[in-house]
Amino acid sequence: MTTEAIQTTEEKRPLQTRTPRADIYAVEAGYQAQLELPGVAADDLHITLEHSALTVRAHTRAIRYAGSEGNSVEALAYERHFRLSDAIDGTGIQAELKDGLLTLTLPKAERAQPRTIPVALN
Amino acid sequence: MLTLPHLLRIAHPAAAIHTEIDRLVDRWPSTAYPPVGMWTSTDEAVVRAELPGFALDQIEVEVREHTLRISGERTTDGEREYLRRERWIGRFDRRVHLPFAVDADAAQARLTDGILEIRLPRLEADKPRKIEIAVQ
Repeated sequence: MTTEAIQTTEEKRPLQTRTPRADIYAVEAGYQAQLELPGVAADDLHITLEHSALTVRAHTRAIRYAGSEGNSVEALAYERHFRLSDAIDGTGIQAELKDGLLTLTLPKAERAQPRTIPVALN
Repeated sequence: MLTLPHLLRIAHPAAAIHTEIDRLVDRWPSTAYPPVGMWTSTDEAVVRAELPGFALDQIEVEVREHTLRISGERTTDGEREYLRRERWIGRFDRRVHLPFAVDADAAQARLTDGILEIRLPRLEADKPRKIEIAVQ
């Protein structure tokens, strides 16, 4: 890291919100979604699951290069929403952020097998 | 219209519109990838390219005179069954015109969180010089 690059630490309201590009594909255990979040550090990524609504929110931080007044690169927010179907086990979702790429692993829910319910006779 | 996968649907209508705009932007010529920004001072130029998911050995950076060239390739598993595909696939080759001659040997590139940052110091001989004019 060069010393000239000054990473601002103050929290500012991001000026622009982007929808991250996503790939979704099938894997053996279920599905994987990959979302592009360039410039996002793990601390600035928040994933929430509320009922069936999966939300990914993240932000980058402003950067000021030496010799420029004000921010050279403005902070940016990312936001994307997905709705999960019953076929996905929401409790088993795993997330990994590497090189600005978020990989969400969405395991298939175990299908309830039809079964006979015994009736107790008194 | 978006083809919505049967298992994961875009829940937010605004998100769907943004995605559609992004997809239209995607159809621009391949030279527009990756998105690039440049900042210059009197001493250097800084170029930032968004390359999420790329490793350094997948990217080539070359400087020739006033042109910076960023190229590479992202391949994917052809067997994969995609429900949605928005990310860049294939070769890219982007050229950025630099406003001044740079010292290519002193250039530095690093890849952090999917951002390729290239710092290009201005060639000493190219820097503007102040000439003192003696007053008679």
